[in-house]
Amino acid sequence: MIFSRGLINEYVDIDKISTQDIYKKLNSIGLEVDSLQKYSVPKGVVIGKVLECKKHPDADKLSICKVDIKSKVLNIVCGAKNVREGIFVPVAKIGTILGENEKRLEIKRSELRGVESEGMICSSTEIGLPKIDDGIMHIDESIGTFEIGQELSEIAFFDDYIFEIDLTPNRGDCLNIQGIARELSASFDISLKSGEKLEDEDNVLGIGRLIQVSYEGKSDSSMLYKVVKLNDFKLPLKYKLRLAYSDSLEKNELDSLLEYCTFITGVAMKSYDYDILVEGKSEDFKPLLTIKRDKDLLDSVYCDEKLSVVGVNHTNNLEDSKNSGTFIIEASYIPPDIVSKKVMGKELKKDHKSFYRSSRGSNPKLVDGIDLLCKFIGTYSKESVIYSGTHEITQNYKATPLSIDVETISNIIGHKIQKSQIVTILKNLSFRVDVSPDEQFIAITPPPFRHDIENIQDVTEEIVRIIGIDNIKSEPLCMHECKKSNKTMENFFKKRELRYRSSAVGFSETIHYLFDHREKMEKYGIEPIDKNLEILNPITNELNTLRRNLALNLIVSVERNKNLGKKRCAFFEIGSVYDTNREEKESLAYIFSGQKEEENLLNGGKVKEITFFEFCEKISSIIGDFEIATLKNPPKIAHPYQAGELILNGENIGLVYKLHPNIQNELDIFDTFICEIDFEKIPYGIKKASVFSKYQPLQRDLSVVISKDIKFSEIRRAINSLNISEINSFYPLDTFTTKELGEKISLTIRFNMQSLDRTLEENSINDMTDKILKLLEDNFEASLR
Amino acid sequence: MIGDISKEIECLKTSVEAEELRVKVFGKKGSLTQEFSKLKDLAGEEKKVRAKELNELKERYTNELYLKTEILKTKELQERLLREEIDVTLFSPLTSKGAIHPVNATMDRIIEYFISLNFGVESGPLVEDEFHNFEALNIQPHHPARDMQDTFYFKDGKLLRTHTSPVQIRTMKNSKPPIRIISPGAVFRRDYDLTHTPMFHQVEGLVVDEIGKVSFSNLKYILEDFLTYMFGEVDVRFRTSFFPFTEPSAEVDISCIFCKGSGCRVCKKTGWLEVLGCGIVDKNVFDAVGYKNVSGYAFGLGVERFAMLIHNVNDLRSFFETDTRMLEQFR
Ligand SMILES: [Zn+2]
Repeated sequence: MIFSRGLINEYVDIDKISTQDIYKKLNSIGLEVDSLQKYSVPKGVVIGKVLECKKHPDADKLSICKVDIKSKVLNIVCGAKNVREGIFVPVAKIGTILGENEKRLEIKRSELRGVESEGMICSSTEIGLPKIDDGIMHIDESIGTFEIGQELSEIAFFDDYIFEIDLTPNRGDCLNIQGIARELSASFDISLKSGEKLEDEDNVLGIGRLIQVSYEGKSDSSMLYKVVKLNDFKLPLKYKLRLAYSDSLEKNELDSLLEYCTFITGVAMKSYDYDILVEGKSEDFKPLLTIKRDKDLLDSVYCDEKLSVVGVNHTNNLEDSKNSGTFIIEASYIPPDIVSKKVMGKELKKDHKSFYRSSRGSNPKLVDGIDLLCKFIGTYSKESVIYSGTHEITQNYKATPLSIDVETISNIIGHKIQKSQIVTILKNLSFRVDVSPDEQFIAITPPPFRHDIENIQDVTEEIVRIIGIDNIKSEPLCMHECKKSNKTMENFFKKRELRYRSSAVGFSETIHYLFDHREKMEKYGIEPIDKNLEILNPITNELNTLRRNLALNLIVSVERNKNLGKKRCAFFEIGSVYDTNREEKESLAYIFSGQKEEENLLNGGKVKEITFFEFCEKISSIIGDFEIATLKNPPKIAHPYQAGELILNGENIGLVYKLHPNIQNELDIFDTFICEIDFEKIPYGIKKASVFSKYQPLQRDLSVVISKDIKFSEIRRAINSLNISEINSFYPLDTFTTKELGEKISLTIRFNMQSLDRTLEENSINDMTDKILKLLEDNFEASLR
Repeated sequence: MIGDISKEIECLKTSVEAEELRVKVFGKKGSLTQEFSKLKDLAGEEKKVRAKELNELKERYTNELYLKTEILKTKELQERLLREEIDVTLFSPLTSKGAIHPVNATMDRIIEYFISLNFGVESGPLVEDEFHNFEALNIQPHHPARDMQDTFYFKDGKLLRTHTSPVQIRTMKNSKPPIRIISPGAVFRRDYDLTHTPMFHQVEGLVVDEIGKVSFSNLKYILEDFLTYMFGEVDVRFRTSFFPFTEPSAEVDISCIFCKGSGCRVCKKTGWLEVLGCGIVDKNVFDAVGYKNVSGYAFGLGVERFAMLIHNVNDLRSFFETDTRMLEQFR
């Protein structure tokens, strides 16, 4: 809704209230002001009268005008088609600056095809107003009294504020000026006015001589018909501008007038071209309008053919230029919930503006709209004829009375509200209010245009709106303790810790959309979710399924950053992923690509690319010690010989792998490593200390020559199976190959040894290493180096 | 004879030389030690005089040598320290640190606030059904929010939740009042332009207690404090609004943190920034979960909106495009 202060002032007495206060109040009562601005007609634009208008001798499209601006008569060359003698127009004098920035235009004395021009006759858009007509703007007395030569910006009509408000969908009653006026009246406690003074119309003849209206079957709608005969009807400037600000100006003058009546009263209105309906019929033919339900069970208006669907669309539109002739005017109402429900899910041709209004609730008091229309025609189009009487079909929409009590309202708000205050507010908002004899209960009936009032909470909202939330005290709530510890809370702390650890180790956190690209997943050998569980309406083809893992999204980010010139990418993400049955689980994934660190002083600018074990070490310093087991079936996107399962406490918790070189080549990215872990399986919580030895710890290194094919995990398993309690830990210290070793490698294992109950002696250490060596010899054909 | 030891001390160059001289003079075979041993060949007055003379020499040389050694050591330490000088200003923090995502960092801060006020944290599935996402929240089938245009639907009729509110429904169905929870997480709308992404994050709060207990005053209290915690000293403004699942409803604005309320580009010259929606839980929602005789409030906020305001990020989409030029500023 866009409207000016001046317009509102025609319907409610705001003379004594500042624009700033109105702005604050509208916001506070739930009519959010999107913008507040002033009309911005530039200085130097004055009212001129075209005294003479002749064709330019050397240019068909130009006219040479003599324009009186009081101080002098200007010679102006004008290119508009609609310039003519006797009209009043805005004239930008020499030196006037129109527009801003790239549209800035300074009016200069000029010569057009040999004729001097001393100014410019302007269109509405050239002087900062919305577009109303093609060509120059015609000024008429609807904007108030004016004088030739007067600055346009000094005329009261153009010295005004424009409000733009955003309405919530429940407030269809404020989609019109009278609704807004009613709100301001209730919230400021000021009186409503009846609108601008218009003359009563003269009725002639009876409508019954022209049309008949009938109902067939059930209907939800109320209808009211009037017939008018227009003679060169023109909507005056003031109304055109008001409509144009709201983007509601129609091409046809009568349609614009109907829009204006709707804009003011909220009554939904339409017109039908009578001449078309009687075309080719006999002299005494009377069109019969029939209201009945169509195949979608929507109330429709027929005259042989379907003319319109009430509240939804309208097919019998007027020609743009038609402003004379006989027209049927229809005011209609259909309850918003009914029309919304019936239209839902159907492929209907919808007239957006009509449906927007009907589905939010138009004004059911149809006579308001018709009255304004008639008075308007009576005032501004003396040549036109309004046929007396109406055809009317009215449904009985019963308003449900509600019983409310002061205590409940006070409890919802949080402090005591006086009964008298409640009664006054509701009465100002046009509710019917009856107080019970014992004064405990109040029975209220919402006005017919307030479809949104259904229960006491709705009524409380009305009270809250009008007294203003700013006037409600803030009070802390005292509550019983209730249970707080659960898995979600634990996961919050766990994620937070993992985040801090991951970023400390050098990974940056990312957030990707939950989506992935089905075809790409298939190409990379990842089975997408079941086709029958797939997204019906993806936003783009690249985001047409749910992701199965985080890795693919992370790879895209690496690729993008490589293209931005990054030599090193280290990212992590915690997020939901789905299995093929679309079951959700949370995943933690790491990706590292390119240089292992940034080039800097410490490495003298020479940096190597990260390797598998360096990557694993980083992951380990985040999630804890794990082992890596070989993979029988590495994923298709993995390097088949640099891929493994993460084993933590004997459980498989995730995958770690190098990205397949083919994919790296295809995406043109550096060596890339990925680790994706099942979030639930990462241990979190309290660590327990175990008994530790107070005796001297010792180290022993054992170097053996062993076959290349033996995985260290096999050796680890074998040594563990010896169950030597004195071995605290052991790990591979060094491996190397030489020509002489051939298919074998040299492997050095370090043992940390310590006994719980004694200092280890040389011979017992030797016993243990002999035992291990024998095991390696027996099981793996290893030999001491 | 012992010669001119004072001269020798004078000529010492290093503390090592000084130690050598000490041994040469005072050591077992040192020159002075030897002079002392010769005393046994003397007797009477002569011995006495010589002994006194030697003791005086010993004391004098000891002092002189000690002093010289200290001077040399100090000098040597000074030289060593100077040799070890580095330009500490060479340090530049261009290391390989990681960054926590500003959206998650903001979400954590929000959650921490409510945890500190004794709120529980709840979560729910991202793939939801119409009942939890719409119906139970009093969003009628013909409500525009249920349009296919705005919601991602699956072939089996499920949908991606469009807000975190279904968690409220799940929590209420699984427990009994009193309830005091927040539900943070990702939500989805079918929208992609400068100011919309198909996924974003919300934190919602819900408080339920017996009827007549939880009021709008309480809601105001907690949100005013929360917004001060998040944004510092700001003015908080409540405007009545409309949401299907609360009544009365309000939108909450803070005074613009960029222009302090005088009007700028970010606040569209209004001086206010819209940051929250809230209200008293609608009776229809309680009916849907079978709660009777209760009262409650709920609120919800967009985490990205908070993160953009707090961290001065002006492109929403950059949050989801792993733009390291933006993300790495948060290291
Ligand atoms: Zn601002």
